[in-house]
Amino acid sequence: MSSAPATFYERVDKAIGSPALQAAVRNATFRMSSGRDAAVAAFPEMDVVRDHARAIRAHTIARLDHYLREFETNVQRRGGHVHWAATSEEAVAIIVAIARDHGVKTVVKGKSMVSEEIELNPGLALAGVDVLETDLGEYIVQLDDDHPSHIVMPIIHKSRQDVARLFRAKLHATDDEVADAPRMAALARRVLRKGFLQADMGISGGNFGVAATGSVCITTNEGNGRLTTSLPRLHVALMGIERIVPTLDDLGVMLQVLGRSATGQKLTVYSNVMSGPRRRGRDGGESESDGPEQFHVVLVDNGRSTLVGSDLAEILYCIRCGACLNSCPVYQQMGGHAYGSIYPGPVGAVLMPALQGLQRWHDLPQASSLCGACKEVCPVRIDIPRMLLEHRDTTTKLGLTPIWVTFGLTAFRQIAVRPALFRRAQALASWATRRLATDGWIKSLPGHMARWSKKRDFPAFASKTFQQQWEARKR
Amino acid sequence: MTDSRDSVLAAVARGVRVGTLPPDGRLEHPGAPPPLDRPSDREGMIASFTRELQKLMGTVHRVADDAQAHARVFELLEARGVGRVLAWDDQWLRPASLGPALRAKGIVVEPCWLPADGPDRTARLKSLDDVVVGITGAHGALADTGSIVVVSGPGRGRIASLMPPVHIAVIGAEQLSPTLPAFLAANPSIADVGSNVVAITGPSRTGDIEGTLVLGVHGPGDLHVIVIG
Repeated sequence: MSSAPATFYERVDKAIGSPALQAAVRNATFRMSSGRDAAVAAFPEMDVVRDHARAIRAHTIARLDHYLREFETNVQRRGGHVHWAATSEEAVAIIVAIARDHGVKTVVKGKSMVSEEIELNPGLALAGVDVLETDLGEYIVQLDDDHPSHIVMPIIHKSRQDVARLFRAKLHATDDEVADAPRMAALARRVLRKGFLQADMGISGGNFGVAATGSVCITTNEGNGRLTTSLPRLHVALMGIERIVPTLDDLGVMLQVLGRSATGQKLTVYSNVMSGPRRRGRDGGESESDGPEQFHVVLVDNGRSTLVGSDLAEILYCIRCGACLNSCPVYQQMGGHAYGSIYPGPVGAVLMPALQGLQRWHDLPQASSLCGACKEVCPVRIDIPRMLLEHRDTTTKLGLTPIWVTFGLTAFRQIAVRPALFRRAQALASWATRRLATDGWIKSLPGHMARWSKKRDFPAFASKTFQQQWEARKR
Repeated sequence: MTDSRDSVLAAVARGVRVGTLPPDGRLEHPGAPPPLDRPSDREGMIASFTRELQKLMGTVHRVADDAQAHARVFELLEARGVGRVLAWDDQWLRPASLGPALRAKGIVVEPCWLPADGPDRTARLKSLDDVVVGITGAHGALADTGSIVVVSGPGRGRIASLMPPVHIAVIGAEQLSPTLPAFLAANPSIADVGSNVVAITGPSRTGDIEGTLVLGVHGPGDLHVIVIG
């Protein structure tokens, strides 16, 4: 998707100018929100379990150094390897080195947002390693040289006709093979299965790392995550340093809220817990039948450690369920690509500036009405609106706010604190907006405000102000 | 290879010392998971397990004894014209007589063993790719969610419940736990049992293309759990 428009506002214009995209995103977010709401309604303990899940995350992040060390010790105790990457580049270099050391030519990959964050696939391609994405949605993204537009459902921006066209062009599929979703999925299964059988290495994400047992948990519905982590002789799990939970009991709590919040499932189909490589029998004991010969965990910092202990630490509680995307009125209108970031939606609007700076991402925290729907549905009750306001505050302090916004707000303050002036300004605004309006709506605002009215109408002010109407009513 | 272990841990530790918390922030671990009020009697659990797995398009077969379990497995194989299966070793199957009974019927029972070496491993995987049915036991099952919990080990390969498009698991009714938290509380050392613990909740599924439900996209799309007792 190299043709992505450069600025946030251009991307937004493009997204909301496409009726097909809007229909696809609205359908998908409605479907997922409804599924989530139904699952939550059917789980009487949801609020108690959410509170508990939040407390686990808060505790873990407040003691993250302790739990990271415990996790490392226990992975090693089981014969696994732990690697630490401060940056994206280091994470890619670590994985390329593992591949080189073991003569890896082909890799099968499960879904991992961190791999998108560190741009792993281009890095592996440069090193001469073939990577095959195996989640159906991610495979389609890879075939189309696209980017995921949702952290759980990567291709909600594509119709089945889009996928059919793509499979015809790239896989030379017949009409029958792309006749419907089940047949397209069957075709992808056949292609991907071949990749699984000969891959030297599997790369997965990590939904959770369990400190007490040295385990990595990934959750998938398709089973590609299990194939990725079981068939190849090497398994590399890639995860952010914040994804730790203390114990297996805690993992059980997180899984109960994750599936319900993400897709409306009580549990994701495969809740897959991996503790070290295939176990080899000692002293004549029997070895496990299968599983990877080596188990590597790559812990990625990439800006996360700077958030621990900060006003934004709460975003590290996130378990990447995507519920805040589905519930967000802004995301529902424009989808994920308009954000231009790896993590879209409300969580992305907090996380991207937090990890990579407001200089680059100061537009994202503005893409919110602060309605609070994200906080309402969050399985760990992250106060996203509070952190969006933190970002907006910092944006202003850094002088990144457009000059006309600063000027406009300063002017408004001068007027708003002077009642007589305010009344006159109201009368002027009412007169002016009613002159510009047709049937009560302004199609096109003047000057800098024109951008606001490009894709929506502005209402004319009432002829009498609230105060005037109130005074009239009292009489 | 030296990596950034120490600098990352030091940066995290600095943040931990600063320790800004959200307004409701607390430091203590919240303790044991909240209990869920679910049926814990045998019949209640079987009813819940059956209902939940059926909602997910899985199939539950309740049988009275080992002989009926054998018969049900044979029916499922015959209906699919299957002469070769991928299965756990005999001693791990429920009942243990199932493996010998399958062989006595002329069915080829492939063990789950995978070689460590690359080319041999690929050759073995390719030779197993056309097997239609995998047969396993389970370490436990979750009534509340319709899940079975499968743990890897010697003679208990991961691939039997993963590679073939049909998965038949035979379990005993006494293996049911009411919920996931109850199962974890009763099996605190489960991660020591095998390198892979997986809770399987229904057949493999995807909704990636326009939300259309498709079963069996990678893992088994046809899941049968035979419950004895």
